[in-house]
Formats: sequence, C-alpha cells, structure tokens
Amino acid sequence: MSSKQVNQIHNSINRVVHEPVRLAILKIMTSAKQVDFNFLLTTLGVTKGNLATHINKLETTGFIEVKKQFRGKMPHTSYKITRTGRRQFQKYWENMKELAPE
Amino acid sequence: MANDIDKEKKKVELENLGRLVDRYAQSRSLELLIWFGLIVMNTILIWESGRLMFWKMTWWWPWVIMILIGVWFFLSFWLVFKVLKRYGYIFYKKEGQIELEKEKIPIWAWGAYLITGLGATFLSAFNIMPVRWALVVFLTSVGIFVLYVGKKHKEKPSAVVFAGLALTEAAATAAGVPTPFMNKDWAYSFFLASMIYLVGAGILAAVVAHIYNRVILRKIKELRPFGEQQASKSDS
Repeated sequence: MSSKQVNQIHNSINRVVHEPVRLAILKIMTSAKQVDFNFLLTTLGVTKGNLATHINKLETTGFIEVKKQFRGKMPHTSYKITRTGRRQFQKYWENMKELAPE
Repeated sequence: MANDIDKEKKKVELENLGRLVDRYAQSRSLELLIWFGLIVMNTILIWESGRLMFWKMTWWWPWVIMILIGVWFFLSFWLVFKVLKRYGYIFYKKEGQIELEKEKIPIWAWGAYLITGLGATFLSAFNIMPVRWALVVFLTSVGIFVLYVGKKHKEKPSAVVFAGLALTEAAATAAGVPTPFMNKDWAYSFFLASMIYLVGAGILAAVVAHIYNRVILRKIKELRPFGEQQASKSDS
C-alpha cells in the first residue's frame, strides 16, 4: 500500500469513533436493543462525568439516540445505537483492517 | 509495528468485552424464579380445584370451576408479565439495564410444541398413551422448545441448563428409571410428575444461570482497566 493510500485511509478514520471508551460504548450497543447509563458504568468502569461526556459526544454526532422515560417517579435514560452509528462503527473497523491487515 | 500490535490488542479487548457483555446480558435469570413460583402456585390451585369439581353433583358445577381456573390462569400469567415488564428492572437495578434484540418465535414452533407437549398430556389423560411414554414425549418437547426459545430470546444459559435437565429426565424415564408420583393410580400422576420436573429444573436453571452471571460480571470488571485508563483523560 502506498503512503498516499495510507494517508487517505488514515484521514477517513472517524475521530469520534476512534476513542477507546466511545469505541467500547458502540461495541456494547451494537449487540443490544438498548442499554442504560448504569449498565455502561458497570461494564466500562469509567467515571460518571467521563461517561456522560462521551455519551454526549456520540449523541450530538447522531451515533446514538437517547430515550428518556419515567419509572414510577424516577427518571430513566436509555441509549440506542442509530443506523449511522452502526454504519460508522463498521466502517471504522474496515478502515483499521486496511491499515493493519491480518 | 508496535502501532499495529496495539490496534490488534484493542480489537481483541473489544471483541472480548462484546462477547462477555452478551453472555452477561443473556444470563440474567432472577426473573425466572417469579415464573416458577407462579407455576407452583397454579399447580396447587389446580390440584385443589380437582377436588372441588366433584363437590356438587350437577352437570354445570365442574364447568364453572374449569372456567374459573382458566380465567385465573390467564390473569395470573398476564399480571406477572405486566408486573415484571414494569418493575423487573429492580432485580438488576445496581448493575443497570440492557435489553437485547429478541427474535420472534415462529408459529410453526409454537404449533409443534403444543401438538407434541399438550398432545402427550391429553393422550395420557384419556389413557391412550401410557403415563411413562407421555412424560417422555412431553419432557422432550419442552426441552427442545426451551432450547429454541432460549436461542431466539437471547437467554441461552438458563435455557441450556433447563433443557439439559428436561432431556436427561426424559431419557431416564424412557430407560425405565423409577420416577416419583408417576405410577400412582389416579388422574393427576402425569400432571404432578411433569410439574415437579418443570419447576425443579426451572428453579435450578435460574440459580445456575445467576451464578454464571456473577462469574461473567467479575470477568467484565477484571477487563475494566481498559476503560479506566480513559477515566482521567479529557475528552477531545
């Protein structure tokens, strides 16, 4: 692969996805219908503030959608990956595979 | 080169995390205990209603009792389904909720299960099929159906344990291993034997799957440093 091609792929890598915590969030969401904040906290072990920031980033880019509802009197927020998010996640791995073929 | 190794490592870690999360989500089984508790309650109810049916010697009395049992059966399952849908999250409130994509059970699968499972029950009730063989057919049908539902509804661990127990019991019954409550000379022998197996296997499956769930959760927590490395980093 020429250096020009490598640069091209490198530039096409989505920076929002290319971050370990966000990558892990998307990975969990690809196999689930929906997950809530506590579940992501339990599985990822990041701080609440950090997770909230990453989720916010994914939400503003349209990779995940937020569903807010009430359970009794308690608010409950769950997240779901969008089609764009799923597509970008797949594309990211395809790019990575091209950069580092097995 | 080092960069490539890092990428591969990251991918493997992510694949592991995805696999563990999937296993963890599939092995949440505490809700099942409520269902098997309900089956115990309904079994006792039917057991006692059977006696009540012969209390009045009129043609309409048994029908009244049967309709009441039917209504109760429907209401009890419907009510538990509603309550669990609304408050089921309490079981795993601390760890948070995950809902997996479930696939629909096709009608042919329900049909096959009802024909073989309930068919055997009726054939036994009308003395067309011996209780022993009816129980074998019933348990085999339940075992295969539960395996299929477990795969479609993403509840594999409890389904595998439950189906394994049901199929083992079916094989043991077919081989002639003496089974309790089966050879009693009265109408409820098939019903009681099958209910005892189902409830016993169900509770055991729920407990085993829950223990497995805790093991997987511990493994996920061991994998956590992958995420914790990022906890102090600012977002770009």
